[in-house]
Amino acid sequence: MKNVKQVIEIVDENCTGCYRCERACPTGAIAMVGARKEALAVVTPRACIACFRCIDVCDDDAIDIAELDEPHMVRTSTKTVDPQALTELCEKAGLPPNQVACLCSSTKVKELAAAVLSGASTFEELALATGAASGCLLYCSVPMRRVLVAHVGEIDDKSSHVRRYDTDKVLLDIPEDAADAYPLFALRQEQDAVRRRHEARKAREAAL
Amino acid sequence: MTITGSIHPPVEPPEVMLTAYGPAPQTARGRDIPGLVSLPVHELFPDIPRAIYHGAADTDPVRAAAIRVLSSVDMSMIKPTDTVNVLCSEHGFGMLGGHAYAQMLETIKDEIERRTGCLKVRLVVIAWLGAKEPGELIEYYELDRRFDGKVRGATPMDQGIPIETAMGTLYGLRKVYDGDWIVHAHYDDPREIYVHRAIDRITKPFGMSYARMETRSLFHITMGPRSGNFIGRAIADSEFVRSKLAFSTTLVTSPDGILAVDADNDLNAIGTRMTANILSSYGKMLTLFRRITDCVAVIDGGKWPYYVHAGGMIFGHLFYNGVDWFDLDRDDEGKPVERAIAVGLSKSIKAVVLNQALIGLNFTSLTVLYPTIIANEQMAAMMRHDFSNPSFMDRADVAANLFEAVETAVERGGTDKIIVFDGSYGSLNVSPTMAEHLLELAPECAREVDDELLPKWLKQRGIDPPALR
Repeated sequence: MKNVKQVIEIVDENCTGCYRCERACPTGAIAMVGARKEALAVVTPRACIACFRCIDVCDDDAIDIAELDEPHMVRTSTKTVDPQALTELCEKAGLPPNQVACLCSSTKVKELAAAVLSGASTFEELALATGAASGCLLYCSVPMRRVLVAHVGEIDDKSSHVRRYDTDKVLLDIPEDAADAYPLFALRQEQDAVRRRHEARKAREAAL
Repeated sequence: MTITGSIHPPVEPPEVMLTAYGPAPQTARGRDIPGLVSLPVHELFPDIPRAIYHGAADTDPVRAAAIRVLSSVDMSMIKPTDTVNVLCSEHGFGMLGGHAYAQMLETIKDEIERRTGCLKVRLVVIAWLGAKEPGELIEYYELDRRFDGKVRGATPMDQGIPIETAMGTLYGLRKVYDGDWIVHAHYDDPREIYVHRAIDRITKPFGMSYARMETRSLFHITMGPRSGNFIGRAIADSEFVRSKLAFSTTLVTSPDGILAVDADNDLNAIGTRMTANILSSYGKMLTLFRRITDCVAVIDGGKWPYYVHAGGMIFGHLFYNGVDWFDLDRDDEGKPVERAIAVGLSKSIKAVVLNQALIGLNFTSLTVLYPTIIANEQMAAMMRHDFSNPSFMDRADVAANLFEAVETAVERGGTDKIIVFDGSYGSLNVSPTMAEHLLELAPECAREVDDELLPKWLKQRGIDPPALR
């Protein structure tokens, strides 16, 4: 979830139609409108989650920040979906429901799962439904991908302008022989600890 | 206890570079806080290795050290018609003002050209995230001139290249690997020991700086501080990287400054030396930071808050000072890194003053844990638009100036022990009470590290202590 307090505004007279902002926007809030050689950036304000990546990549001072009179919360409540389905999806994604998936927007894995169960089927829709991918990007890409793939299968990313790659391994995916080759990294030990925690959580949920 | 013999005026911190990712460099610096003194790290621990370079404009000692060590490196694999990518990471420019790192990079290029006849030696300047970061570094450190125009910037959002590893397919950056050869030009500043545990520091950039954002996400979201080392190592050990890596170089440091330059064709050999130096050069200062009872931290530098130095130690070392991260008997219990490191959150910090730092990396927890006072309106304006810390200003206060901010922090924190993180090596800018506190703690820390901890840390990593001597 993210309390969005600002929105971007395009300065038309400065826009040179370079397409870089469109390729950086995690929610698809920016579209280049017009014939290819004359296209200018146009923003859909409600789809902007104030990540300002467009401003970062713009070399032409063509994007400003405007303060919103009324900030709006971007979030998907986990209470809006079936709890059993939510648990199962997190399980299928191989991630604990309460694990933070995006530190910057304070989005947990279970919120991603709720958004996907509510209909988000692309990275853009998932970012717009949760605020994930609006910050540093160091955390969110793997959990977003794993939750999406767990529910909708391999993602059709053709309509996206953002470059993404399909890596999404987690600790438990590391093969035993590889784990054994690097004993200082304690991979086996940590894998075992993760499995024990999974089992304990499942037992707790079953008891409830 | 008095601090007679330790009263020195504050040391001058490195200049802060003008950047789009932080406020304009502040004229009021931490060293201007009334009554501050500096405490040389050698007055705390006389055996901290002495530096050959302390941050001045004259980087000749670094150049001489680099030439000396590179003379024993085999460069015969590089042919005159080859292309060599020298890989550098932005944090190197955050150490002692960055000029030593720039000098090491330039010397690598000069030596490759001189010894191999290869003139296609390109520098790849890899930034953390911002699209404008590489350009700022290239301009400030005149990297274009130093590399005869053969310089390229890169960020983790740039085009990827698949690398087959023991963990499956991971993605590096195409700009990193598109030469015939790569030179891994690194540094041994231990930085965030809480997320790597000083196990395999030498390979960390392969899973971070040189990698696509998805590969970085793998580390942050699913791996712990120990297991996370596997990602960089898996990439470094891949056939692809091994076929490209010509040699590695590092700036060798202690809290005093740059000690030397190291270089080797063997990544593991240089990695072991790096680990040994991190443990032996930084162990006492880290142990000292763990013993601090209470303090006000002032952040006043040109990097993200966690990475700004005081006496060669980053703020992150204080922020996560709750446990001994070097001790491998301490189990991370398979927790992902954010949860694993939470056990180390500092109870020593009582308040934080933010005078200047970069935005873009999440550090909202500062405001959740401690009274946080921003020292000027320019920094506050940056924080209001910090996409990585959207709720930071919900809890932080803004003072009219640095001195008012420090007064407020001292009052709210209930302590006048002040430590300034301003990029300094060699000495810490601190309040007299903090100097007294540190001097009082140091002898027992030295004894503990010498007699118990260092032998244990080395043994845990299979490094023979006598061999180290």
